[in-house]
Amino acid sequence: MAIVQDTEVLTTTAPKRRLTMSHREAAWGLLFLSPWFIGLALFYVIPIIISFVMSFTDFNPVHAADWQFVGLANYQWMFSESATVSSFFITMKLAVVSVPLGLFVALGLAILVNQKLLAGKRVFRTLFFMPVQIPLVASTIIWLDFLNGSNGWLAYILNTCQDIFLNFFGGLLNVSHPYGPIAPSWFQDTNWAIPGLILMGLWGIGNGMLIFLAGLQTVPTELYEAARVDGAGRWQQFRNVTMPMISPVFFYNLLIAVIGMAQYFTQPYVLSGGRGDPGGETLVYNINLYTQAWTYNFMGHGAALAWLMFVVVLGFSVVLFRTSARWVFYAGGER
Amino acid sequence: MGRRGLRLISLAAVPVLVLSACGGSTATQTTGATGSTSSTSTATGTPAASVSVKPGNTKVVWFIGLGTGSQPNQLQVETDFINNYNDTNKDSITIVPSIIPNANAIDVLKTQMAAGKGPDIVGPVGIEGRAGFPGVFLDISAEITKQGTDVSVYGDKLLNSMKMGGALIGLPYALYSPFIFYNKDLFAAQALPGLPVKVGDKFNGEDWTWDTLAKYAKQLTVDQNGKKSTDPAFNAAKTKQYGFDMQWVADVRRFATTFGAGAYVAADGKTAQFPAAWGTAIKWYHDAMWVTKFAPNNAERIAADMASGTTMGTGRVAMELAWGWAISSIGSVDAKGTSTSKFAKWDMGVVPTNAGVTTAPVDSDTFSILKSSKVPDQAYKAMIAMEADSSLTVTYGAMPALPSLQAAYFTAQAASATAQFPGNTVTWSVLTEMLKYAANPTHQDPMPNYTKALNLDKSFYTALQSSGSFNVDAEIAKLVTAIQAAFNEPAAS
Repeated sequence: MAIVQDTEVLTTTAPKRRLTMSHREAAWGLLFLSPWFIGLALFYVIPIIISFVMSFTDFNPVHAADWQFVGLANYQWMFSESATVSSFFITMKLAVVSVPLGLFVALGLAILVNQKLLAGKRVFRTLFFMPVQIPLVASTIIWLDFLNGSNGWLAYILNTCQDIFLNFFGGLLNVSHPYGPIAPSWFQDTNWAIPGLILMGLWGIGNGMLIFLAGLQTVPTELYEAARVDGAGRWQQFRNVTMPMISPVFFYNLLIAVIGMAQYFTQPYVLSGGRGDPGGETLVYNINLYTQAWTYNFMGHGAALAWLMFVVVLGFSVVLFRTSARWVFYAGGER
Repeated sequence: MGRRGLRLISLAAVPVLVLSACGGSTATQTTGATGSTSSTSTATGTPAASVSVKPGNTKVVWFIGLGTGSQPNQLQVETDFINNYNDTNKDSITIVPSIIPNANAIDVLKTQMAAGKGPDIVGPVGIEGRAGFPGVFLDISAEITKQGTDVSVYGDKLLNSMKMGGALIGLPYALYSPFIFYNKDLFAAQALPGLPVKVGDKFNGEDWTWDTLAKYAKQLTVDQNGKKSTDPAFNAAKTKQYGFDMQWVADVRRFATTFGAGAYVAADGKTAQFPAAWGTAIKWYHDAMWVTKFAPNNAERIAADMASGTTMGTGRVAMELAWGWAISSIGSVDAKGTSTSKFAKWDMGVVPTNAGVTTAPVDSDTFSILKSSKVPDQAYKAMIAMEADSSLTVTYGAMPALPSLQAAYFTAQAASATAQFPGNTVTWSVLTEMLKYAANPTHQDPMPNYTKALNLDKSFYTALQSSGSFNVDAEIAKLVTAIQAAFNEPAAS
């Protein structure tokens, strides 16, 4: 009887809680991840929230205590400001040309470097990737000299070729330097500023090339053998085997390129001192944003512009993900 | 060591990682009744003095970098001044420097002010540097009266140039006069005499006007085959030396004011205009680059063989419109003090006249106290000490506004120039001569929506230098329209 009573006493008290092994492991895992979480909160989440709030104020850092809520005034200003529209279209102009160009040139280089018969593959891989490691500001300054319309290297090469051609054929064709130096002035000419930026952008495709190369090397060779057996030529193999198999890599590079264009700032800023010269042709969206926020001290305007860009890029990303089901092939059959 | 031990060690690493990631990088502003130590750092890690605030002393933070002052060769001089002042002043003041590279200074100062941790003193800084911070500087008229400072030595003209929005935000400290630099070697090769050193003197028997300068600049422009620009066989694409340039000039007002003082804003304070004298200047310069080609255009100026725009020291330009702050770029010496300059002799002449009038756009730097300073009296005293120190003036390369300090300045400049150009004599009196013709309004006078209007000015100037098809009259009209639109907007800054 006493034992039954003892048992009853035991069964009616709350059992002592003990963390299971998996709970303990999870707790330790979270603890080790905490530096990242803290960094994410401090340097991303909190600033994002602050910028969102700031987009509804007239905050001026020089008169920080005098800010007020202005509702949607900054967003209304944004859509009525000509620089917003022009900078957006200049960025789009750059993106429409440089993104596909960058992707296909990177893919082309990756295909070349992937050739079985190519000697010194590692050397080529290294050479194509090296420009990525050079700081952007330094490389932009070097490009400024290279593309200088007066006596940059490219101008020297083009003008020398022109001189040789005319000296050799001038007598035969009875022409003598009809056009003057043919090298364009690139960043001093409104017609050549954007092509100059695109040219500079091509120098940094090493990263994309490496990613494409990795994708190409994962394509099973038996697929190519099967295609050859079926009579497929090289172009058909590329179109029906290579492209579908590397489509996830292509999708990734495309997404990164679009986001990269949305963040495009350093090179046009170094070239024009932040004014978008010549003639506003290098006034990309982020330079306009920077100018509004940090040069003119209209932080509210800058924050509103930043959120507009976020919405646009988010929209692009959603479209890309939604449409990817039609053209991105995952070998496992699932995303 | 078991798993538990490893986990504990890793756990200890978490706060270390967090603290190192979140560690402060700007000047700390610790204060207290007991002594405190604050250290400064710069955006690029340039070592700065670590200054201890003695117990009972008032800390005054001096922000350096908005104008000059953050060059490596200036840091030691500033440190020596600060240490000496802190050790010897009787006002219980400790100056703590905050030295930021010029490229980052505006952003850092704005950040500090936004955080409520702005410095007490900013300087030396010119008008344009101050223009980005409207309404933040203290009107020191009350301090002048309280401290009994004698400002009569400056004169009304100079004092008025220190006013911003009606407030006297500093005392005239450093002046940079314009002058015409000329390469005596290139002049001698053309058997030309030296330029006039007094306004009213003639050059080669002719009145010294901008048209006269153009005439001789064409003669001094020579291609690689030795043909002058006046020769039909001259090849502009192969110019070996140019007759004229303007190093480091980036805006219309700075150059155009030499043709006549004026302003973008009319007397009513809100209507945009383009003074007629400036139109003459722009047309003169356009012809110089694109028609007669005795001046390099933008692409030619920033080329590597023209020292990427620092053209005075290249030996390829016969004359330059320059200012005192550019003198240090003319010559050079190696580590042993031997001259490595690219030519042997140079001198300076006065700025030419336009329509019989000489106008000198004079730059003026000053030190200013922020309104947010909690110790304005002490900041003012420290500021006066900075302005009176001759070693600081010499290291900033500025001609002192105070006549009593000018002799030391000229002595130091002469010594420096002699080291770079042995046996050469420079007529330094041109700098004081030009002060007599200081432009009023100045070339940096306030205008509505200053920063935006100035950006439009600079873009116009860049386009003028970049395109031979630049239609001067049409572009001036467009500029006036754009500036009027800027004037009509709420003030940016």
